[in-house]
Order: sequence, then structure tokens, then C-alpha cells
Amino acid sequence: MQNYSIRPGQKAVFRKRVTSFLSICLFTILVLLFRIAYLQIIMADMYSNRADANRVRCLPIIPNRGKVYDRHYKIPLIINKKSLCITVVPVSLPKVKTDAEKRRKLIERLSVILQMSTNDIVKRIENDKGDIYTPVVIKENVDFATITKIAEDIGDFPGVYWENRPARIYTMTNTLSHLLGYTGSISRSELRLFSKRGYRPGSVIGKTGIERIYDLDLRGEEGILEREVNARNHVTYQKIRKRQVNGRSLVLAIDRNIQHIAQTAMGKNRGAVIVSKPATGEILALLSNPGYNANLFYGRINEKEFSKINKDINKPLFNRSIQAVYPPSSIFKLVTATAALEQGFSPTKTYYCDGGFMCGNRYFKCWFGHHGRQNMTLGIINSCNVYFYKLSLEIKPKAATILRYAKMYGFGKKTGIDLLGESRGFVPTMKWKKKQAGRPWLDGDTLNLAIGQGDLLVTPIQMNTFTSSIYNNGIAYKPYILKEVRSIKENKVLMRNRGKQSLFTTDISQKTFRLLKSGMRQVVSWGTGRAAFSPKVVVAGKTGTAQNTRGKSHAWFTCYAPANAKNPEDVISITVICENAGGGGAIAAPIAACIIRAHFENKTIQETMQYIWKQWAAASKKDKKKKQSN
Amino acid sequence: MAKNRGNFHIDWVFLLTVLCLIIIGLFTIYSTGYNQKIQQTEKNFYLQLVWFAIGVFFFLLTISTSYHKYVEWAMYLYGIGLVLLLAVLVIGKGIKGGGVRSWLVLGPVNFQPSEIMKLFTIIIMAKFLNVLGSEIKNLRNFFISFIIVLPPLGLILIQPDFGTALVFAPICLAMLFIAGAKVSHIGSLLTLSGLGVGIPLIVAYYKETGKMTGWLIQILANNNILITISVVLSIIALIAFMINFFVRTRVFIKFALALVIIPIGFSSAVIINSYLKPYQRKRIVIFIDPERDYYGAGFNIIQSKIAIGSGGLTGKGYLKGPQNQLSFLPEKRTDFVFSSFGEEWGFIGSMLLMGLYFLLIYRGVMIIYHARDMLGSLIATGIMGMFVFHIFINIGMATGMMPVTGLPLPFISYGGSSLLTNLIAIGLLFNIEMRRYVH
Repeated sequence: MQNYSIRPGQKAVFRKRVTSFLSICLFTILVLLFRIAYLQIIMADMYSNRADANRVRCLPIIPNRGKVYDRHYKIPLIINKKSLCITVVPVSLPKVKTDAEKRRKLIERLSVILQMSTNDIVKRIENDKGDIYTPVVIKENVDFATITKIAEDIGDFPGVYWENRPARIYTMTNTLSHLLGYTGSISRSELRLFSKRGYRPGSVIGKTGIERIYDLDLRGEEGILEREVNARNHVTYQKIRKRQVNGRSLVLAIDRNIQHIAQTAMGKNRGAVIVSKPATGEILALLSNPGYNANLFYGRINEKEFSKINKDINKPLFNRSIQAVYPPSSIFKLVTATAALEQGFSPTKTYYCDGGFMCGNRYFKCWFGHHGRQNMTLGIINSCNVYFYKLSLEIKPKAATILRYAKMYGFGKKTGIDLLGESRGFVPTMKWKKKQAGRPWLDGDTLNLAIGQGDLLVTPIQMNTFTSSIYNNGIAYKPYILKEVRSIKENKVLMRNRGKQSLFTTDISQKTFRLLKSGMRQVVSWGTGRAAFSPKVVVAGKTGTAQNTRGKSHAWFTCYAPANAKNPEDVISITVICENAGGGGAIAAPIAACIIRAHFENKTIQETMQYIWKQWAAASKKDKKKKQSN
Repeated sequence: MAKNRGNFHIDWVFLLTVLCLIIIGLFTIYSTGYNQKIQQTEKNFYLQLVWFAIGVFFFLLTISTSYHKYVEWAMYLYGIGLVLLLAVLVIGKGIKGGGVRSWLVLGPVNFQPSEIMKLFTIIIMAKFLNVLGSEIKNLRNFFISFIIVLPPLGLILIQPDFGTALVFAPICLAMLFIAGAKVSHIGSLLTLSGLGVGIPLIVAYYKETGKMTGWLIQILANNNILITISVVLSIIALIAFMINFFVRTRVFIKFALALVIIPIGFSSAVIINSYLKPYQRKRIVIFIDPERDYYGAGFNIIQSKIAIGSGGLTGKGYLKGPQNQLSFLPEKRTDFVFSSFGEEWGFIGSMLLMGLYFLLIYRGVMIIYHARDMLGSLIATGIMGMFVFHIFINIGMATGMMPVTGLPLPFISYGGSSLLTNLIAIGLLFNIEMRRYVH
């Protein structure tokens, strides 16, 4: 059918039709052009007036951030409180160029009413300005009288409004400050980083802790309010264009009672307490002492307060439970013991402790007079340094094996707890030593390592998972804080933590664990950790006293209880560290005891402490009698 | 058919015009997603760049083979298109919300098969009309040619994407016109659709606004009366047709045909009347009188007009349009892309844009005119019909002349499927243009 000889263009009808087609097409373009010209030239003034007078503003409706509960899901740990804020919509203010005088007067009047300097107001407007239509918060938490003052003369305050921006109230703030974190308005760098997640300048964002890591769940979605104001700044019309979606509530694994006791028992000690469930990895309490008052940080971080807290020598902003690293000290003897036992070393073999050990030309002292003849269990119970010095030199190949087991127990690796800023700790290597000290690894280093005093550093959370792994016979679960995400409105669980995520599994024999566990039980019943003894609950633990160059030793105590529990779910493992406080048995163990006795026996801290003092008094009497009889 | 590369002809002006349009489009998309605070644009801009690159690849692919090959494959292409449209109905996704399923999600890529289907339909239609030749003058053939369009049209209406379905009408009409169909046939068809679309429009407006006064409107809004009139007219037409048997004059049959048009128009009006969804009715009302629902759906049209109008002669400057930055326009990078452009570049910019479209159309029609054969002319006609309709509806909508139908502005609006289809269409035009001296 295709006829190549005759082009369609050679037919007159075709030419005519194409011409008409072209004219129709061009006609449509012309029509459009006329229409555009009508809008942009004839009606330009009208429309540009309308654009200026386009006082319909889309304002954000701030949703309530999600509440945060502890595991009992009764009293919230974080609540929202109504808080009125004075805001300014920059475009509606008198213009800087044309109405400078008017603008200055307005800001001056505002500064008097709000009791803040004009400089502060100008700075806030400049800093938080996103586009010129989004309201900028000038002052949070304003009382009603102040608002009345502005409302009375609202005609004199073009561009000034007020709205409810819920404030965050932290009910257990000093105790849980590190864990919960705090919120603040988004910084420029954060805005750049998260620009695709719907934040805008002035958005509230979680800065640290749970507030930060679960910000997406907590924040909800902003709504849009359409509002029109007339020339006298009265709202003439408003309508909700999009309803806000409130944030979801979080239920944490934290037990507020344990957390409270942990803090009270810690008192003024600097340090950290971690309580968890070895069977699942749930964190029941996570305390870093001292804390700070996050309620002071509401809205924008109050610079004066912040720098005061920031400059405090006790470093309250530092989350010691996951960020600080300490030498593990005597608790590490359990790792040394593991290494030896796994090498086939007999636990019944004894060494004699005469108060010290000569290695090369250095004398390594034991911490306590002389222990006499010690087998492995006794070595653990008395925490005898000399026993472990001698033992460590018999492990072949010496230090490397011990370090291998340290790594197997999860040291030197993040535990992956759901908080930001976790520290990795440090496990040295032979190579590192050579590079760092310019000399090879010596026997002296092995001796230090064997009693946990060398370069090896651990975080309290690592220590806690280590203890849990001993209870679980070599399995450790990833510690976690978030239990559930809930929708308050429908009272429904939206997301449950999968829980029980294996963190590491060791290939250490059951026999070894049996010995370690029995050693740890005896540490508490008649060894260095006697303070944690309870007549009703069987506790298994290990003390540690970490010497350091900055004053007194750090006191360590880590334990799990009840050691004879039928249901592993009932067991809790507790790790306590007190910086520069003294011996582990004297300082850290009583704190753990307070938690255990309060949790399992409902004893108050006073009762526990009195019990411990009584025991100590009886023990010292016995010692005196012994000496006298001798 | 000897291949002679020396005879290949490339219309550089046309190519440059298209390139300019795409660059303007990219600039505008950058601006619509621009955030002044962080001085960044949203990811849409970069996505569009990627689609542009893909489009160029397909453009080159399209021109590499003679369009006669595509016509040979017309049946397969058409079949593939229909399968894709069916797939959309089964596994497709609605992105804009409102229950419209028009997207196929292939991994990271979202694609709208209805876009490319327009081209496949043009090709098969061209093939059919070319085979028919002058027999298109026959009324029967005239109607048969519509059967080709019905399956894709129906499938797109089910999605339902009213705007895209509407594009098939001008494509069809333009091709029939160039193919040499009788003007009276086309005229009757236009009357028919005028009745079929016009009556529901008026009825919808009066129903929504509650102004149900006047006997004419009362009649038009009453389906029963419309059906009765249709039946009566049909009977009269039948009688006229019968008389034709006894009195052999052409007058009666023409009278009968003219009479038949009205009943068909009425019945289609009745069908569309009941088919219209509430939101579509609302759109119609807002089109007729946007100020009526200032804070509701009319808001978009008013804001769009304010944006364009306030641009004035010289515009507010690139990245400086407050209306654009205000996010008043929810579809500012697709349906209302021209509002952002008009606001920032003013009438001078708009003139430049319309000038480019003018060039595009002029050069396109020249391709129809100079094509080597009818096949080429017809394909080019379908494509030009599509472009012109898109331009007219989109800018007409942004300036408040046309109802909001959601058709993208060729080469400017954000959207991968649209840009890809348009570049393939340009490829087809080049294909026809290049080979006009090749024998």
C-alpha cells in the first residue's frame, strides 16, 4: 500500500489540511499567550497587590511528642506540658528597610513585656528564620498575663502571635538524664543531615539519649493550620488543613524502682550502675552519676545553665555507663582463669602467695598481706594477685591467649545498646604495645593484664554483658532499652522489641563456667564481696579495685542474683563502678547489695546498710579475737 | 531501500528548541524544590536529571531504526502497551492518592504505562489509516478507526486517569483530519462529544452549587427526560430512514444521521452524569467559579493565578518567587509548574517559553508536511496533536482557563514517564524528518 513515489505533500487536499492543522495549533498558543499577557500585564498590579495581601499563612501545628514510660507502663517518665510561646512571623513584621523605626519600637515594646533584651529577640529571629512565613519562637513558657498584655494591643504588634508548643517534663530527670536525653531546636548541621526527614528550621529534635535515637517515633507529624489575618493583625479566618499526628509512646525496659534505688544508693559517688536481665538483655536500670536536670534545657538550651553544667568538673553530661572506660581490675581475673582452664590447666593446682612476686627486676605486690597456699577457687575468692601472676605465666602462649578470651567475652567491641556514643573500650595487642611503648610485650605486661591493670579498658556496659554471659554459660544478649512502641490513642502496641538478640557466643566449656560461678558465689558468701551477701538471695559476684593515677582507686563490683533461680528470667545482673572511691568490696558491693535486697526482699537502703555494718563489725571482732588467741 | 547516510537530515533548530525546553524545565524543578534556608533542592531535581539521561538514550535508540520498522511491529507494541495497562490495574500503585492506580513500580523506578501507550496507539492508528487510504471517507471506516482507541482509553479510564484518557481524543481527531476524513464526520463527532461532555458539565455545576433554577437546566439534569427525548428522536430518525427506502433521496438519510447524533449525545451525557465522582464534580465547579471555594479546592487555581499575575512583566527573579516558596501549590512541580515559572520569570519568560513552543509546533508541522510518506505524516500528526493538547490544557489550567485535569506540561513538568515518552516522541519526529530523502 505504501506509495513511495508520491509524497503526501504533493496532494492539494493534504496541504490544505496541514495548513489548517497548523493554524489551529498556533491559534491555541496565541490564546494562551493572550491569557498570560492578560494576567501578567493588564492584571499584574491587581495580582501583585493580592500576593502582598495574601495573608493566608500556613502555620505548623506542633504535635505532642510521644510520652515515655518505664516497663510498668503506669507513670510516664517524660510527659508534655502545655506551654505558651510568643512567636513572630518575620514577613508580617514591619520591614527592615522601609519601616525601620516601627520595627525598632515594636521590638522594644516586646522586650519590655517579655523581659528579655532587644538583642536577644533580634538574634532569635535571625537564627531561627527558615522561610519568612514560618513563625519563630521568641520566648517559651510565657504566662497568661504576658499574653494578655500583647493581646490587648494586638494591633500594635503586627506579626506577633502566641501558640501552644508542648514542653517536655522529665519526671526522674537527675536519675535518668543520660538515658532519656533531652530535646532542643534543630541545629543547622542537623538540618542539613536530616533534610529529607521532614524537619524544618525551628523543629524540635531529640539531642541525646532515647529522645535522639527514637526521635522518628517520638516526634509525630506536624499539621498545617491555614490562617488569615487582616491589616489590623486580627485573625479573620483559620482552618486546619492537615491535622497533626501526635508522636508514639515508648515503653522502656527500665524499671523505675530499681533505677531510683540505684541512684539513691550511689549517693554522691561518681560512676555508673547498670542492672540488666541476663536472660534477655533488657536493661532494667542504667545510671550515670552525677546526672543533670534536663528540664532546664527545655526549648532552646539555656546557654548559661548549659555552660555551667558543661564546665562542672564531675562531667555530668558524660554518660559513664556506656562512654567511660576503666581498667577492669580484679574482675578480669575471671578471664585469666577462663584462659587457663581452657588450656587444660588444673584448678586444683596451688601456688603460694607470700605477698608478692618477683618478675625480672620488678616486685609485683599482692593487695593484701599474704594469702598463703591458693588454688583457683581460693584465688578468685580472695582475689589473690600472686596466684594469677604465677598462673598467667603458665598459660601458653601467655598474653595472646588471655587477650583472645577477653575479645571472646565481648571486650573491645560495642555492645550495640540502643544509645548513641557508646565507647568501644580497648583490648591491646602485641603489635600495638610495640608501636606504643617502643618495646615488645614483656612478662610484666602479662602480669598486669592477668589482674586487669594494664592497658585493657572496658566500659561498664561491657562489664555487665560479661557478667551476664557467665550466668548464661557463654551466651550474651544485646542489651536494649526500648521494649515497645505504643499508640496511646488506640492503646495498641505498634512495635515490640524483638528482644533476645544474640551478641556473642563463646566456645568455652561448661566445666569452666561451673568453676567460675562457684567461685563467684563464694566471693560473696565469704570472700572479698561479702558486703553483697544476703541471707535470702544467693548472689554471685566479683569485686575489682582499679588503681589509677588520679587519686583513689575505682571501685568495681559486678554480680548476678539469685544465682540459684529456677527461672532464668528472674535473674538480674548488676554492675557498679564508683570512680576514685576506694575498694570494690567496701564501696561498690554495698550499692549492689542495696539494689538486690530492695528488689528481692523489699528492704530499704538504710536497712541494708545497717545489716552490712553489723556484719562488718562482727567480722572485725572475730579477727581481733583470732589475733588475741594467736 | 538503500541506506544513504549522506542524505540524513537533522533539524538543528528543532533539536535546540527541545533542549532549551528541557533545560528550562530542569531549572524550574530545581526552583520548586529549593529550600532557601539550607540552600538545597529536593531530590526530585536529581531524579529528573537521571530521567533526562535515560530519555536521551531512548531518543537515540528511537532514531536508530526507521519508523517503518515500528509500524511493522505496531501490533506487538500495542499489545505490550495493553498488557502494561492491565498490569497497572492488577499490581499498580497510586502515588498521588485518591485511589488512582496509574503507576507501575519496578524496583526503584515508578513508571506510568499510560504515557507510552499514547505513542503505541499513534503508531497503530497511523498504520491503520495508511492502509485505509482514501476509504476513510466512508462513515463505517471512520467509526472502525475508533475501535483502536477504545481498549487503551477504557483501561486508562478505569484507573481512573481522566486527563490522560482525554488526550486520546485530540490525537485521534488530528490524525483523522490529516488522513482525509470528511469534515462533516469530524464535525458530527465534535457535536456529539460536545453534547456528551457539555451537558454533564452544566448539570454538575448546578447540582453542586444548588442553583437548580430554569426549565432548561431542570430538563438537562433529569435523566428520564433526556432518555425520553433520545428515544423520541431515535424513532423519528428510524422513520426518516424508512422513508429513505421508498423515496430515494439523500435528504432523508442525512436528516436521520443528524437526528441520531443528539440521542447518542444525550445518552452519553446520562452515562457520564452518573459516572462522575464527587471530586470530579467539585473540580468542574471550581473550574467554572474558583472564587466560590476559596479555601478549598479553588485555592489552588487562585493561588496559581496570583503567582502568575504577580510575576508581572519581568518576574520576581529565579529562586525568589514567594508563592512558589510558600508551598501553596501542592502540585507545584507537576500540574502547576507553569505557575512557578511565570512567577519567577514574568511575562518576558512566558513569552520566551511560548516562543519555544511555537517553534516546536511549527517545526513539527513542517515534518508532517515534508514527510516522505503518509505513514510518517500521520505519526507526526498524532504526536503534534498530543503536544499541543498537553500544552493547552496545562497552561490553560494554570491560568484558570481550563479545568484541573492533571496533564503535565511537555518537557517542563516533573515526571520521568512523561519526559521519557516526550523524548521518544521527539525521536520519532526526528526519525521521520531524517529519512525524508532516504529511499
